[in-house]
Amino acid sequence: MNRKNSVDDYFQPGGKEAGDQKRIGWFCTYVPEEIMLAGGFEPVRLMGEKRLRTSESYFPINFCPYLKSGWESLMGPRENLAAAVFTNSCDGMRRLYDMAEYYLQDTPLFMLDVPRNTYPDSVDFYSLQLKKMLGFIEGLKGSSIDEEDLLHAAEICDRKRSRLQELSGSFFREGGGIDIPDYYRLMELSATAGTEAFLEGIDDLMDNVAAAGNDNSGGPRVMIVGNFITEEKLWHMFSELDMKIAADDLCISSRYYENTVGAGRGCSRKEILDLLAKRYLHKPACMRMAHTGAKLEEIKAKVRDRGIQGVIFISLKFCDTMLYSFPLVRKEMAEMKVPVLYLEIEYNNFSEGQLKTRTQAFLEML
Amino acid sequence: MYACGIDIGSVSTEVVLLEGSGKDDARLSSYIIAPTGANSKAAAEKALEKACLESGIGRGAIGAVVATGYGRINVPFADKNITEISCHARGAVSAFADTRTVIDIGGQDSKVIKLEDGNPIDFLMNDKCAAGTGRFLEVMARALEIDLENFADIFLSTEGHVDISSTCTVFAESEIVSLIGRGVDKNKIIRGLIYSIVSKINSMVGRVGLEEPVCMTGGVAKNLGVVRALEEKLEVSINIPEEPQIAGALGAAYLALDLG
Amino acid sequence: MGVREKIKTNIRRNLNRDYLRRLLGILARKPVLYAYGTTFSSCSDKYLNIFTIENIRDSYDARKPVVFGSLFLPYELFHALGTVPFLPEVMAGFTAGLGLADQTLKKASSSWYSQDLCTFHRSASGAVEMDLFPDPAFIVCTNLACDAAQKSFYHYALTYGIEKKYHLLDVPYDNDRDSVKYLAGQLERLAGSISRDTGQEIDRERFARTIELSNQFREYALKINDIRRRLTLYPQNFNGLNLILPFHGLAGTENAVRLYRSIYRELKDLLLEQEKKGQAKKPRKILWMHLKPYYRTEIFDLIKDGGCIVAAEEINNVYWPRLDPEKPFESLALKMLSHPLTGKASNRIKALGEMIDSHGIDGGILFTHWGCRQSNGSTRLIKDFFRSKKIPVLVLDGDCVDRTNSSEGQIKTRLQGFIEILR
Repeated sequence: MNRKNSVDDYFQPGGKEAGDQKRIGWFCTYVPEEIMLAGGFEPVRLMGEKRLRTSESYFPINFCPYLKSGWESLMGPRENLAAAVFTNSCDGMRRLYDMAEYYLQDTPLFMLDVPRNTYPDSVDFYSLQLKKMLGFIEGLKGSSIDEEDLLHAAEICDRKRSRLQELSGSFFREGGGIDIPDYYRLMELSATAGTEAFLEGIDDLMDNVAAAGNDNSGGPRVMIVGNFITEEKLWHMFSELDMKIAADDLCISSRYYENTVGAGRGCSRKEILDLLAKRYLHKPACMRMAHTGAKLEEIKAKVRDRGIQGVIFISLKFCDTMLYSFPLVRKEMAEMKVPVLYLEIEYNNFSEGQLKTRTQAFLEML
Repeated sequence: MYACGIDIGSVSTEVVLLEGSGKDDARLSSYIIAPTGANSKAAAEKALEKACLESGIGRGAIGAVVATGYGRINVPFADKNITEISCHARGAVSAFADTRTVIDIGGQDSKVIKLEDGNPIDFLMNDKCAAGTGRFLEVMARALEIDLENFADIFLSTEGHVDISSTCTVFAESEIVSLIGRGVDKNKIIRGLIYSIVSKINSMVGRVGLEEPVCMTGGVAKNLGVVRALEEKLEVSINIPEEPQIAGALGAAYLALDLG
Repeated sequence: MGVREKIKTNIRRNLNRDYLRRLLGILARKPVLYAYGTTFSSCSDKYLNIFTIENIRDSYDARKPVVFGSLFLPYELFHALGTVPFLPEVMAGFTAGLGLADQTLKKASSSWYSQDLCTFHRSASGAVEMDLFPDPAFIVCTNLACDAAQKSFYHYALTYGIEKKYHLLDVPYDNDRDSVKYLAGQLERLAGSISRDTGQEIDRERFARTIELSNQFREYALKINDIRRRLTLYPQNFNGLNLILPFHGLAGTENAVRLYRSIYRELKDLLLEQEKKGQAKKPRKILWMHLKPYYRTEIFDLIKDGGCIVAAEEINNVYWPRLDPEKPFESLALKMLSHPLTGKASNRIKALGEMIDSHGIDGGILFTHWGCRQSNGSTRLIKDFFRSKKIPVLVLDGDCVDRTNSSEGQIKTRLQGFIEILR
């Protein structure tokens, strides 16, 4: 088996050196990568610097760890970051943008207004905002972006999404030859490794994974519901316990790759933007979207379809959206007789003993 | 045949030896409660040795060993490690078979476990905050300069109490120091502190939902003041096993018996 | 025991919806209400209480459909539609004032609401779980100013079984033409939906009249803020932070006009008196940002005793332009979009700057209510802004609703230290 040592090894930036291409950083999955790619930039999700140094003097202590770590990466060395795109996804993200705008004088920043409703007028409004973002990227590029650029970008992104959907399908179904920490590391890389590099490496990886065969780990079938979870200690902890992740609903995975754009030849620039608006607004929703009822139905459907026995609800601490959603999720799952475990994590403070005990006790219960 | 349960907490380690062939004829052979100290692995070994001595058996007579508690992964000779949730539940059920709710208040943490047919179906743990644990009472006993052992009698024999508004142990300590400075009756303060713990537990119970019969485990169950106050607040009567502090290790031993 | 204390004690002893409805029914009868009004030392206080009680009584009476609304909605719309608004977040403030917050917060905690969350929303959620609120016909909320209302209000909708009557007004980030159009469209759709459900056609004339009344109240509010630039002699117990309900929830009603007119007249008289008397030592003027503890606190006595006054509050800033009765939906959309808490923090900083300059502010107090991430996230920017203007600012940590989450001792120390700096 020609398996590489770590997942990372599959995605070294091929011919291009790291210095060549200008990168644009983004935080939230409601920012279309297509628009940045079409401008000739490499969209890179900012995962944040987990070691917090100065952020605690700028933000309150009870503030989302992702935002604080995002601050650290914006304030730290920013290799080739031509710009950064923010969204008004939540109050915290708005404040991060405000602080960055004030203190980060040398990097162009853009705030993308993402609607909370998903009605037709919201989709139209969002399309207008995407047009503004397009204008911003064109400004950075110094020239205009046409339909061809956008179509090509949409096609690449859709291709990436399809590969991820395939891989995830087999991971959730049979364990698919890739363990939990590697799978979630791969999810991170899909947003940070560079689109071409990722597409080049993913086929290779998937062949090796298929060859490795199924992992028939026992353990109850669990669904992970959460926000921006990238703590590798957590994934390692899960892999040490007796459980099978049979579905997830996370910012870094399913909410990133599910749903495609489906733009075809002959679409005008406006039509492509409309299609993007539709895809992004209708993808599996972040909890911050208005239609909580629809979100709960999404989760229930996955629980039913994949025979989920227990739900682990994981949140980065101090996320109001998640904290308010939890009682709702718990209630709905109780009606389905599916127990829910609530876990909270912070970056500087990963209390493994406590998290492991709770998770293990939960699994023992199932 | 013997089965062994070991509960390694951050402060104390308990070992229980059960004698019997199955859960129906098992009887408690011996138990040891010892301080954990800095080396939990050594503490487990030492406690097990002592227990064997008490039961008059050699290590070879022990069939299966289950470890629980925060140090459970540090027991290399354990056949399995199982969380305190399952073990406390089992320990409670071994004393009171129809238990539906277990309230465990230990030195460092507290938990509420909901059972159905003797098995946990929901739980809530507080292991982040000293409020609602034995530690809270220890800190306050020091500040009041009154022995913790006397708290129960004082609670039961005093009328009235003073409300302690701070939920944080650090703030509560300053609060009672200033109350003492103002000449407030220490006995009423003690009652107030006990009501404070009870309030925190009540809040946890509220989340999980109370079903009777209720069983209390953990060292603080020996404090009758806390038990009475809890019974008052929850409006239930609470069952307490003979030795509530070993409930975790006892449950672990029963689970070891199940392993066969 | 005074009348007010007696009422509070009785409420605590009979904490259930029926009792509240009956109590409000008795208290809100004109003769009783005006007799109660005489227990207040100032005219503004008297009318504030009277109109507040009337509004809350109306919501419990359920003669008109009740709309649960989050704070920063354009309430003119609901009055124009013949509904009666009920503001759970403001009621949370009342739970603190009535000494009920520990019960509602405990209930919220048992219902799995985390203690990292804002107590305005948590206490309201607890009250809903305890079934203390009137039954709503509609639930309306908005993302202005924060994330919290959206989900907690959805939970109310689930609890009352009216998920289909839950509406979220999505306020865009920038205040531009596209945004006004989008938001006005949402407002119109909401009005249509409510009107269909209640079976009442939208009365254009009543709508125009409501907008006119809102403009009148706005005029008085502006005049009041203008007087307060120079006013240092205030009625006893006057606190601008008590005006949350009428400023938002009663916008567009006759009562709001009456209240603000009477406040204006009272303050105008005091200003005349002040100018006649002259003043030996001018008190230091403070700008208060965010909200205050709604349970009993010594903060404002300490400020007064320290020779300072609160000359302006962020929450009383008249931030919106005159409304156009011919274009009600657009005007109300513009009202929401003009709020300094939409969009960038620089909007808020700009509004604060204008208040500082117009009032000659000597110092600022930013109350950082626990769990309020939209406001507390701007702390550093606000501090830096005050620093750039060479004006001292105090960041006061506390909790507006939960007194156990606040250390009175710490607050007093910080406040006293700040006052010493100001002098």
